[in-house]
Amino acid sequence: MTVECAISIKDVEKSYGPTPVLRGVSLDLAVGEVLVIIGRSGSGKSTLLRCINGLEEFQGGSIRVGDIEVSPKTAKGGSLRKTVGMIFQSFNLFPHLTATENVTLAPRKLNKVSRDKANVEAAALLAKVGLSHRAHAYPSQLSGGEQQRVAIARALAMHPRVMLFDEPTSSLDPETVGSVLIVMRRLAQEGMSMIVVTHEMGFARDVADRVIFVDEGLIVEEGPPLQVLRSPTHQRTRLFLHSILQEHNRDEPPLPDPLETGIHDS
Amino acid sequence: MSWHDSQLTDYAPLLYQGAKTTLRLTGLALLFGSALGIVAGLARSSRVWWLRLPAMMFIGTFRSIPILLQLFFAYYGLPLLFNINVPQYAAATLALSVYCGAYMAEVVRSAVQSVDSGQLAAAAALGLGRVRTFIYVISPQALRVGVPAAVGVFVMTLKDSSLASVIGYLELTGTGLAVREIDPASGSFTVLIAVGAIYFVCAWLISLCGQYVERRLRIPGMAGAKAQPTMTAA
Repeated sequence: MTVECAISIKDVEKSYGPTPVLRGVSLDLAVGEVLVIIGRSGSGKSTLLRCINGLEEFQGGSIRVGDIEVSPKTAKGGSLRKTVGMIFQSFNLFPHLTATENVTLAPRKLNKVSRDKANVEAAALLAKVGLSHRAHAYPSQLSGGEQQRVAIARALAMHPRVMLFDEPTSSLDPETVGSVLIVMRRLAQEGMSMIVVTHEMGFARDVADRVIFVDEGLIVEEGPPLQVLRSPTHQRTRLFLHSILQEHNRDEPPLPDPLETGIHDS
Repeated sequence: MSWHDSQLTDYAPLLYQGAKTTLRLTGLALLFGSALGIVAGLARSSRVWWLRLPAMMFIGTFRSIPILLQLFFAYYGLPLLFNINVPQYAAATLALSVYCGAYMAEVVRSAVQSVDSGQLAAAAALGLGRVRTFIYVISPQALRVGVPAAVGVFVMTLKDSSLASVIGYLELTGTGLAVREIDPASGSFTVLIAVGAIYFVCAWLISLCGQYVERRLRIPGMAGAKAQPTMTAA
């Protein structure tokens, strides 16, 4: 049995002017798979996501989403972006519209869904992300976690087959991070194909089918979460994880520097 | 010797005519200027260079030259250049419209560009396309941001309509100055105070309209949530 390919990325290269950001990235996302990408800021992971749905143009290689070849033309066409939903670090809700109106805008204007039907669907989606009671609130009246959940409902309203998450919880208070991760986990369990760029190692460990470490525009390490996170094969991966863990666990004593203490029995 | 009242009743009809002329001139200039400003402002914000550069040149030129000179060019210069006859009302309306348009273009441009790019990315990711994004995402927000600045430009246009008097156009200021010359003994400053009061009331009415519009458009928590009286020029 062959697993269908939701997204196929081959040797993608991208530069901003003279600066290379992606230097030959290849990966495949199977239908229903959850892929988590970790890496330093500036490593190219966000850029990769934006190349997938045509928000950025890339110079080399190819990206295929389902049976759509990503190019400037298909990006404008409409069917590419209807297949791929995207969640941003800064939520990017439309501030002049209520939560419900944010969710119904694209279906009504693009898919010509009637207002009543769109409202019914929006109500269901907002209930799914736990925000029925905030259906008529404006974004400025919502907390960060609530805004992000509305953003997820908004993306789901277009019935995408793949969802891209670009550091969805990086702008949130620690208390609200969980509320968003719960929604994402439920989406994964329902079989959504997802690529998630995040620093949330717990989510990666528990929900991801595969974890990929990207550094300086290249995939350095790839594999099941426990392998990549607990016993990485590459030094760069190890250094990165070390620095991430140090940030997240400031209360714990820092790990001993192997260079300082020499070989150590742990 | 009785002072203000008798003189006021003497020249009140003249001031009334002058005020009507000013309001007509300003009204037309605001109408044409707003239309021109929207076109030029959108062109100025465009990604295509052959829209953007001409718009930049237009805006830069007509915001850098005094309206006084623009009036002269319209009234004395155009006939010389094109061998046509330009009546006063046409020259005044043309010059004031173009002047207002250049300033309105900047109001439109900065309002459109004030919508943050994250929203453009989200709209694009949803598949909304440039036109729909402009209609449903950019315009509603740009409108709210632009109204206070637009009120400023409107009041500026009203005040600068007074300069049409230098080409002999008998609008309100020209009428007031003429009355003052014809009858120097008539408590001459009173007429100018009356003229000033009329401008003040008109500007205040424009500002009130602006506040009303701001209030109607207001979204809780969004930029510009509080309607402010704005009578200052852009």
